[in-house]
Amino acid sequence: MVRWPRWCGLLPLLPLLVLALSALAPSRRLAVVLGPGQPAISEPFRLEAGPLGSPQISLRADLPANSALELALELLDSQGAVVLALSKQAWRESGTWSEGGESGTWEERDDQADLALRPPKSGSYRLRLTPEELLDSAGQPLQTPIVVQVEVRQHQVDAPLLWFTAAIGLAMVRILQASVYGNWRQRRALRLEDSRAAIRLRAGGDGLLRAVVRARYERPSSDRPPAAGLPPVRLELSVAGPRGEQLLQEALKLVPARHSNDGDHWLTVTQTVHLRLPQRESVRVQAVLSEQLADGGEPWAIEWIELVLEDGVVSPQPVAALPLDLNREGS
Amino acid sequence: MPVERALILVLTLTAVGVGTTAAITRPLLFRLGQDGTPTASSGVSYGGSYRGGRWVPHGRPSDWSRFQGRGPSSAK
Repeated sequence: MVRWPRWCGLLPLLPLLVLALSALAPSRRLAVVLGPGQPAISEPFRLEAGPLGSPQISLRADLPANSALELALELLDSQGAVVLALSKQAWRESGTWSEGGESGTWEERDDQADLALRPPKSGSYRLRLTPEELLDSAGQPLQTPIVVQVEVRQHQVDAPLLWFTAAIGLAMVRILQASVYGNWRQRRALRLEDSRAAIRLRAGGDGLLRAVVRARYERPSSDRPPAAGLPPVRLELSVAGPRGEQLLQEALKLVPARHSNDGDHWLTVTQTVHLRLPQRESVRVQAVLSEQLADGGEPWAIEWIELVLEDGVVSPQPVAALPLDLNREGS
Repeated sequence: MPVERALILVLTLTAVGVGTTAAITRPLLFRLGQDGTPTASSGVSYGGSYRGGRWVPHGRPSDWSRFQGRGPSSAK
């Protein structure tokens, strides 16, 4: 059992944790009311410098329907000096549509602006907002006051980069886990239209020998579904040593899984057993399943059996491994 | 531990560490005082730029967006 690759699965959660913590950072909301052509200055707010994220100023203008606004914005420092100036062309348009006897309304808008920047030092800042032009859809000036919602958030991180990092990290962790948990020394598989299958191979040493037994049962001619009192399937798993000596004999009862599709019914069984061989040796693993299952109607007959052996398996969690004593002679 | 697993582990730790650190510190983000302007989002244009650590406003740009002209009929 090796656990550390499994714990590596937590690595992609690190960028997502940072993203969640950033969302919890406090924000300051301000509302600035702009009269026609009149500049307005917001309340002071702080912009934090430092390496943990950056401040982000988000603005949204509450525009009347079918109007366009050219908004001049100036960022002022604590001395009132302009440290940044920009203009935003905002608009909002709505209407109705009708097509094929159906109708509805539509609305499109571009009334937001986000400003992410890093101040040279933490301090108090203000915004001076000036509505330079507010026009209706006919190009005529509007005298409506405009409310601009301002939200100032600190410690904002690069969210797209964090999502990308989490995705890349997850892909690499999957590769790492596959290189540990899916990297057996050898794999042998045998599928027969029979009730028994056996494979001889040289196995043992580091890791475990994993034996997987699968089988499918069907009624030969009847489509009758399985009855409630379906008996378990008996699996006899045996392991023989290099000279044919019996190293393990296990009898297990397996509960068959029921399947049906389009009136067809069948049963399957799957069982995984882990074996521990202290040293490399030639062993023969044999699985024998019940040939038939009787549930009151036509008996279920085995259609095929599959035996898969994987040597050198490393498991992410503890598994019950059956020890094989190679020193047993002639038992 | 085999070399290839150690290499994958180191690459995974590096990718997650560098990506997360860069997303937090944002080294490419515009800092007030550095030359130029921040990245402009939709409908935003800057009225100046930083040069030598000072904000230098430039004249109001000519706004040709609403210019409609008189059309080809005016051409003689």
